[in-house]
Amino acid sequence: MKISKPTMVSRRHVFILCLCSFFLSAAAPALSSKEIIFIANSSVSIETISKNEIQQIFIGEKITWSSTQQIELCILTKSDPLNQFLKTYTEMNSIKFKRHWKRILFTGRGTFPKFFKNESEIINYVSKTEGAIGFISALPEKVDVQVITPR
Amino acid sequence: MKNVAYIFIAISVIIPGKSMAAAFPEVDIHGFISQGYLLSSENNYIADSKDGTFEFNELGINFGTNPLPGLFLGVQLFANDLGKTGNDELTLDWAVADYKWRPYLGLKAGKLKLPYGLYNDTRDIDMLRVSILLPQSVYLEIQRESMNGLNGGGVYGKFPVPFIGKISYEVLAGTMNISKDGSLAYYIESIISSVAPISINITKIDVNSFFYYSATLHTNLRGLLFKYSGSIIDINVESIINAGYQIDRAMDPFQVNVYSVQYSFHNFLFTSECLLIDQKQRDKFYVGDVLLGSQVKNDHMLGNYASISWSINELFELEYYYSQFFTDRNDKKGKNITPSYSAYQKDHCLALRYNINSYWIVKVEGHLISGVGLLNPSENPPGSSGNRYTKNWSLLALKLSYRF
Repeated sequence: MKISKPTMVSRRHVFILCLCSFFLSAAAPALSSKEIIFIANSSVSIETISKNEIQQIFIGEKITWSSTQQIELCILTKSDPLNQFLKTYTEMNSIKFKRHWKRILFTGRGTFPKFFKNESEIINYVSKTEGAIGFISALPEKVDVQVITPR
Repeated sequence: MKNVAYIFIAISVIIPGKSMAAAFPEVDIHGFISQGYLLSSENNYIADSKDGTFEFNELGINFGTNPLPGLFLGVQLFANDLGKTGNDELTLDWAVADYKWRPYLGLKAGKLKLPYGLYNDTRDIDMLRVSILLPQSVYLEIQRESMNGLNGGGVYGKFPVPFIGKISYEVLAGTMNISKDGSLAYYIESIISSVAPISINITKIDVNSFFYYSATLHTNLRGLLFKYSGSIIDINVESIINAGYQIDRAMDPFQVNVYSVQYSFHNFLFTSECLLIDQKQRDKFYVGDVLLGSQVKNDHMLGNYASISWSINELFELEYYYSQFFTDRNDKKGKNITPSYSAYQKDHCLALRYNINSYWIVKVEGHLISGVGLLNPSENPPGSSGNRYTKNWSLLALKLSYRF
């Protein structure tokens, strides 16, 4: 009688499948489906912004609104909005994003953005700082910032 | 050093306190400190690693500001100790005026970092990678000084290319200061001392011109990029004195080319790079003004590596790389060199990084190495058996880093 080889093969397949599942589950970031809201200081005279511009601003390639106004970049480090933002607008996860900015800082390519742990802090800073832009996950009722709509 | 001291004092004076922030542009201050430990089973590598060494540290502090829209001014002071080089002497790492006019065009001038490959400009900054030692086949310690930075200027930018993605570019030109007591001089002295029973001393290294150019294709396939970076360096080691003998070494402008590919997929990062160095040098031997003889030497070095790193979570990261270096890519097995295993160095590295918090990092890594092609002869004097090296060896590295 012939010994059935499929047992050996299927064990190997199961092992490979388990390995793949392990790596893919570890790789998949936990993300919420909440919207990202972009806010800017009232001195910023734009109402809409392209996805490409958002990417350029938040990875430090575009650093001025105009020849007379510097962009003051604000980053919310709370994990849900940050991961959602990075997934939508960049090619990086949060570790790579922070490392990207440290690289800019320590190789003489620019200054660090301002990092904020909670939404009220970033809203407060953006409202008071000329040229500031940031993102949040929910807009409170009475705030002195303008919302910029991605197009 | 005097210049660095003046700059340091000047910066200290001009840095405004918070109360003066309205009158002066805000100055950001950041820095890093790291302390490492090296222990090798057999050969000494980078430092006296066979006995274990703490001569492996870096520290840097930088000051940066945007005084006008689009303009960045910054300076970084740096000191390190790496075996017999560095010795924690404070140096000017970079000092730059950078005007970013548009995303596709920026101008910069000053003392600039050289962004060879994907990691050269960050090789001193431990927090930016998983491994402690970058793959030595591409990021050679012996070339650290001549690949670190240049005094000059250049242009850079990034622009979209339909259907393909985006291309970023950088072109720099200038010169550089290479110390006659630095790692390159030390390496050249060691190499010559190891092949002839003489004591030598490099008196001057001149870099007449340095051109750097790179282009990176950021493809539409999210996370995939290709980079080419190259340079042409016109360098002269003007004289080497040996107890009455003089050696003038003239090098043809030599070329360094680095080819890189990287793919970022979720929490994984796959990287491979290849380094090619081509140089031709002519040595002339004199006693006084009398020419005794000359020799011409062609170097065709090759180094490459492949790595995979995995961010397991916010705390732990793991990296494995295989790196191989050949002193002569036309003689990879060392048929024309003794011992044959000094023609190459092949390195398996496994590294673990633990992010204690946003500021502190601790790393550990192990290397299994075959060959001694990147070892410094003077750090490995012949033993009682007459052998200078051991072919198969291992290296353990530990490092603790802090940034602010």
